[in-house]
Amino acid sequence: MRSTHITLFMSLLIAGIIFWISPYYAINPGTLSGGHEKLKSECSACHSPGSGIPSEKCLTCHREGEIGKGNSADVGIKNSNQKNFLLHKTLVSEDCKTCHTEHNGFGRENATLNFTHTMLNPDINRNCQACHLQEKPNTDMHSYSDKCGLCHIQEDWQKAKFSHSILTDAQLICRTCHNKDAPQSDFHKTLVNEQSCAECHQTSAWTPATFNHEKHFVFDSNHQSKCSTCHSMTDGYTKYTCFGCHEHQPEKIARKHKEENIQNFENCAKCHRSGDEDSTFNENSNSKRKKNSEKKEKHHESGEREKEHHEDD
Amino acid sequence: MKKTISSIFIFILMIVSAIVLDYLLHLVGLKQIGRYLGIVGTIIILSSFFYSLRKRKIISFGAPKKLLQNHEFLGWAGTVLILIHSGIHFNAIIPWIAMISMLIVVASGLIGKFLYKEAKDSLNHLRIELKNVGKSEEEIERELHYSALMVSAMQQWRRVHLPLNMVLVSFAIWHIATILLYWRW
Repeated sequence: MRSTHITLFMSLLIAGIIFWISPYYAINPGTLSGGHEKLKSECSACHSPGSGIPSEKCLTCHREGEIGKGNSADVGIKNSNQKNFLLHKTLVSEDCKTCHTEHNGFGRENATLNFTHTMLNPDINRNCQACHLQEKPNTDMHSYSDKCGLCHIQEDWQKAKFSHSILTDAQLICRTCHNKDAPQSDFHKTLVNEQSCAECHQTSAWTPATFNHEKHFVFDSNHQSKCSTCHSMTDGYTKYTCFGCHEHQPEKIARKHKEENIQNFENCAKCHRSGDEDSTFNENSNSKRKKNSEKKEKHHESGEREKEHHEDD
Repeated sequence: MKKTISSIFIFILMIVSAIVLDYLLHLVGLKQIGRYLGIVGTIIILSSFFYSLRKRKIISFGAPKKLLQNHEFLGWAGTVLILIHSGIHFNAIIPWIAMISMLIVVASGLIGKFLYKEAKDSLNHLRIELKNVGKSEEEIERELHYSALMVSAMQQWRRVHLPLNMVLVSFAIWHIATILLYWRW
């Protein structure tokens, strides 16, 4: 039992001596960062025994309002970092331990915990360009808006998701950004105005193109023609003519329509959505055809009555 | 031989368990938990000392045999947690001496367990043999008296095991005290 007590006392004494000779090597939990290496033998430079690591200790060397302007040994513009300077001026928490730690290794980066934008003052947090102005690319795309958050997220800047909704109507000109993307096919070469792009393409996804010919005209067995039969290569595909076929002669078409009392027959596809001449999409046209067909029927009926009358005679 | 291998196996298993668990904590990004496992490990080891208190009749509850089994298991488990807590870092002298002395104490404990088992088995064997031979009780007791030297080996062992514990306790106290003093409260 006596040896046990002696051993206890001697061990405590030896441990105390080790600590007294070199507190750093006796109890240090990890290597200090390079800038604090000279404080190795002065634990109390940062630590208040029993009360942690108060920020006041940090500010003894890192003067408040000048953090980011230079290092603690030589306050000046030698190591000036404007972003750091602004950052430290706008922090929500003034406790240095919120972002900084130590005994994590020699590298300076080891002394900083993961930065999150929530540490910033909310007004600054919303104004990305307050810190990131120099990183803003100098492209047309980035000139459309100052609201970086419309496309970017703070957690991962690179994962930008562009949305056309940030553009004003005046800015929504496809060719301004997509001119080099425009296919060089004969079909696309004839499309010269911006409305042409929107006819077939969506801003949410360029492909697949949503052009549906049946919206304008339904092909049938009589109309399996090439594009050039109805469309002119020089005038573009928004213009067409039905007179490209031998079936459709201008004089014949005009006569037929006037018989039906249809005066406006320049835009054939407005009424004739397919080759079936009895099917039309235009109500006005339908009603006219109905009146005319009623007239025809009455005409036929009266004609038959006359015939009967004459036969009776 | 079997018992020797068993003791060595327990010791190696303890170290391997600590390494594997520490690796897993690093893998899942929870290495910070290791810092706090030191507290849990210390509490577990302290709770194993109920056996020592019972042996010295400081407490009177609990069967010594059961408390001894708890002492062995809790000492082993607490050591595993403290090994995870310390990790493979060579930063400071005091915690490292505490850890090394802890491993020596565990090894010493396993030796003591081995000696105790040997002594008990040996005495029992001898008693049976002497009885079978037809010796009288007095003769048996005289014979066993000399064989009790094996039990004396146990006592000698205790004279090493307890001071080693004091080394562990001293450096552990210093380690814990300095943590409390310099922690980032």
